[in-house]
Amino acid sequence: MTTGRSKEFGTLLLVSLSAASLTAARVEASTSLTWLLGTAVFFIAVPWFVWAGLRTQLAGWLEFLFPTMCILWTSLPLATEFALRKVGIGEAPEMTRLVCLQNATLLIGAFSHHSRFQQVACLFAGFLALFATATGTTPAVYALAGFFGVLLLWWLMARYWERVQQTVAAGQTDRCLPLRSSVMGGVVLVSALMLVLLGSTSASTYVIRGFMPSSGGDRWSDEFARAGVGDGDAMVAAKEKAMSFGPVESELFLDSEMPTLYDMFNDSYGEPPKPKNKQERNIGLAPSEVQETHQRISKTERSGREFSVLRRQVQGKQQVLDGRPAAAMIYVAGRTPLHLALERFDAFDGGDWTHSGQRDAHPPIRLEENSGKPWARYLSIGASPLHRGLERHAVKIINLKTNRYPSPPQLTAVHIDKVDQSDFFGWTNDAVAYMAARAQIPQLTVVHVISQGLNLESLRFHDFTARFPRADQEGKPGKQSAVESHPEKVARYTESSASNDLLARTVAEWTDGVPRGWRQVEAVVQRLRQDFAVDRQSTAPANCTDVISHFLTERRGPDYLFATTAAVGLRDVGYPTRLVTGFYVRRDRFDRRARQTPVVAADVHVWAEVYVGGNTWVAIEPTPGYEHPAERMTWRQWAMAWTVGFFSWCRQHVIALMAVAGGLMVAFKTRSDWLAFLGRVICGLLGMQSAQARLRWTIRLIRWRAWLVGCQRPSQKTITSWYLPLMRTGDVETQRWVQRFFLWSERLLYSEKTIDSEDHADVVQACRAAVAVGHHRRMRTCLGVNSSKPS
Amino acid sequence: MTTQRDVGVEPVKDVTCQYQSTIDALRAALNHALIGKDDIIEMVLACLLARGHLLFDDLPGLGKTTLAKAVAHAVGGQFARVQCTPDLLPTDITGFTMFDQKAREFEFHRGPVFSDVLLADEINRATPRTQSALFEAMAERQVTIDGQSYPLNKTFLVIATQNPVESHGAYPLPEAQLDRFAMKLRIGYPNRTSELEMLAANVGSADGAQTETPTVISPRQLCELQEHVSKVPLAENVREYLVDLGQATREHSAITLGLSPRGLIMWQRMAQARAHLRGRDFVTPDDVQEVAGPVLEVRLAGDFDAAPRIVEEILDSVSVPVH
Repeated sequence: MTTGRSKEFGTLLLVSLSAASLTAARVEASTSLTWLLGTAVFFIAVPWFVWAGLRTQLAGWLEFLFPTMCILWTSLPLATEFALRKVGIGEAPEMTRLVCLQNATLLIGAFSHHSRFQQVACLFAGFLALFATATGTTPAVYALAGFFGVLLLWWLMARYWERVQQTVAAGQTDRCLPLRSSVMGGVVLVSALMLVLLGSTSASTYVIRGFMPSSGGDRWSDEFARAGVGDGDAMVAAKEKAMSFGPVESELFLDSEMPTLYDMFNDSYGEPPKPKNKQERNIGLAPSEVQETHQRISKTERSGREFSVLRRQVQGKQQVLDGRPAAAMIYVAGRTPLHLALERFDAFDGGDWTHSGQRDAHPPIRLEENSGKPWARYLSIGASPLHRGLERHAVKIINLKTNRYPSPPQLTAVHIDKVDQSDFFGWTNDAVAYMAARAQIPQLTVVHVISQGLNLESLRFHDFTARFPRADQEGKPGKQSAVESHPEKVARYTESSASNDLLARTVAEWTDGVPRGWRQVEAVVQRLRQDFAVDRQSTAPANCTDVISHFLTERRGPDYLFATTAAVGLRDVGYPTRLVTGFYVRRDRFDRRARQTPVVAADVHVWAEVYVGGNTWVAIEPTPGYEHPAERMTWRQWAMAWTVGFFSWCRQHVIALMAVAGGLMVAFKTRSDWLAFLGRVICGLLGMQSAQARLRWTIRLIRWRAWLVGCQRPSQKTITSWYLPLMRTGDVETQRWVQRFFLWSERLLYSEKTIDSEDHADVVQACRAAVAVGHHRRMRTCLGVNSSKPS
Repeated sequence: MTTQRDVGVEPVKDVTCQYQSTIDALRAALNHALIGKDDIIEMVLACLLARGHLLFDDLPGLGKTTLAKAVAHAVGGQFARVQCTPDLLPTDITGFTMFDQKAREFEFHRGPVFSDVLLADEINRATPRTQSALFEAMAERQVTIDGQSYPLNKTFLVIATQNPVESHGAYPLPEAQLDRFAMKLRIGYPNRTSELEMLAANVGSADGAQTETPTVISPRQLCELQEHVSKVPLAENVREYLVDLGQATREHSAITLGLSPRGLIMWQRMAQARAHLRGRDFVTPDDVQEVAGPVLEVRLAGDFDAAPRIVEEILDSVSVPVH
């Protein structure tokens, strides 16, 4: 049978686990993670201190304060929520109420030495965990709730056997709950509630309705609501105005002057279709799903046919979109940072990147059905040995006029709701997935994309370009592999007529001594990231003929110059590359509440890709400040990367680390000195009020110092028998005062007589002698003389 | 256990007692009689002040009788001695009624119990029947003979000595008898210095007898002193500590018979006496701990040699109040 103490510990642990699972569920919708975690730790930790306090002499005091503590502790989340809302941090009302319940449960758990409290705490904890699993979606919630379930099972079994044992021992039947009072009470309560809710239409009904507010569907809504009937204001807005971004993939589709994806078919008005500049292919929809709007929609992006690296920054020009309901061009749900490609360039003439017009061979796009949804498969899964794992993102087009799917590297599949015809998906000549036969993807379309993760480890240890056809082998028969069947592809992407000596020399220097293969690519990228600075204002002069040389000399420039230099430089040493333009989805823009990342106009970005064989192009990020495209690492690589990262960080901060280590070492070596000093100061301050206080705090100081020298008094030893041998001095007079100190202490502790005011001077002198003789260093000397702790 | 004396400085007296000089004289007299056994003398004094009976348990020749006689002489009362043998009869201790031919009436002849200090030497050589004759005298300070009760002196003190139980011809004292003693002391061999001093003191003494111990206190004074000591107060936390310790003796696995309430009361009185001897007017847990060994060893039935260890375990199982 479990002992009472472990039983109570188990109960509080159970409650804490349920509180932790609730916290994990709250994280998802929190507006301030720091605040949430801070308060959660505080709310869970304090009941543990109360639990520990109940096992000390404070128990009676804590028991007395229980009702007050319960009320305060339960209402504390409401008060903090009220205050926090003033500064714009908040939480859904139901969550705040659950935190109140959590606090009450934790406090009841701390007082679980009352058997009834134990049952109540367990019941509430179960409810909290249940709610957490119902609302949370992250694995952490499920893991914690699962662990809670296991512990709960153990707890219930232990309680059951304990009851069986008690029942058998007592030889009587046992009823765990008072049936009459609990069941009848519950029935009466529920009936009363139902009567109030259903049986009347008085004002109380409306009051109760507001008690548990949801985010929508009623008059009362809350700005921090997590979700609710109809999904609140966002949903309402989405229903009424498709331009606003609702949390659903629009049930309503926009009918405007601009051509839409979906066919308009409005028989009710009987008007002829509006003339369009050109006819686009569409998907037929029911009339109820179509809504007209006559609002002007801005055209934000013009898909260019070339990309010039000779540009001028226009001061004051802002890419503010007219009539834009949201600042974002697109929204991305999924892991960030992310590179989303929109256009790729293969030819560079020294000033402009252009399309050569040659089209790469791509595998055919197949339309597959997955979980009842149509998916266009662009690349078969695991087509390359580099492929490792899949990643899914949702891209929501808001203000972007393009027919190209913003696609992550290694795009594998694309899905748009209700679009189940394969001719909506295709490859552009510059190898970007696009919505074929349309000029643009309609606004508010949600494009789901799946991409392959890459593991580049194998590229690092052999020269992947060795398999590429060399000039002297071109056209020779007997080449079987997919790579070698496209010699013109490699030739096109390694063409480096625009290169110059400076770049060639620089890249040769950067790659000198680095084995051929991916490590050379990484060396070039690394040098660019290390030695060059991003400066969007630093562009080449208008008459500059060699932008790359200018960039190499200036060592600063905008991101497209980094990408261009990397791409051209790598071509110089024989790696096929191309330039990519698109968006860089920034991690720091992540909207925690909406769980998506907006991409604004300022996020346009240029990077490069390196061809490594097959159909695989690996994105590289030469611009500092932008993260590398994520690599799917093995555990070994991950551990290595962390180790290397850790050591390089240590190397960079070696002086600071040494200073901290030195400081810590000194602090550790002198820990007893400064801890004793601290104790002396505290005891000195607190013991000033009276003779009794002085004696009490001097005893505490002596105890603290004895603890510091590792000579803590066992609870079975008396203070005199333990501390007096540690406080010896050769001076008989001082020793006499030390003994007087113990005498006064004993009088304080064990005599019912009070210490008179005329004894104050005597007490003070005795305490002074004790503080002087009972110094922790002296104690250590006494210990050394004794060569053991006091008996 | 470390005491204040161990650190080489005399304890500081907290209160000045009117009897302090008497106690000091008593201490000095006994120290003179039994050289080098200060701790034992302190315990004997405590026992005397607590009005308890004393049992010495040790090998022959270690000074048990000498100390008992010294106590008797020092308190100045009437001293009686009974050498216990297997053929000793109860009436040899309590006294008997005899028909006086001249007066033609029964006359009561008082036994050795009608004294201030009774030395029952080698008590465990007497038969249980004779041992039990002392029961009433020790517990109630009276004897009943032929239906007639005779009260004993208020300061009546029994100092019994016994040889270790393993010795031949010994009848172990029953628990009921043991419980009437306040404490059991083992004198032990004196240290080298004390023995040298003892030998030097004995030179010139032809019959080996030591000098007579002077009388330093009258029975009436002793009685007053005992009354005074019984009034030394105990704080509630110390009383709780004592009760916890008593409970611990009853829960200890090696003890067949735990401490009786009478034993607990005696422990408290011993602690009071100890506190008074230390010059304090309140009892501390130190006092309780210091008298724990002698008080418990006489009562705890069990292995004779394991007794000190068991006492230590009991003390180690209860936390000392420090609040």
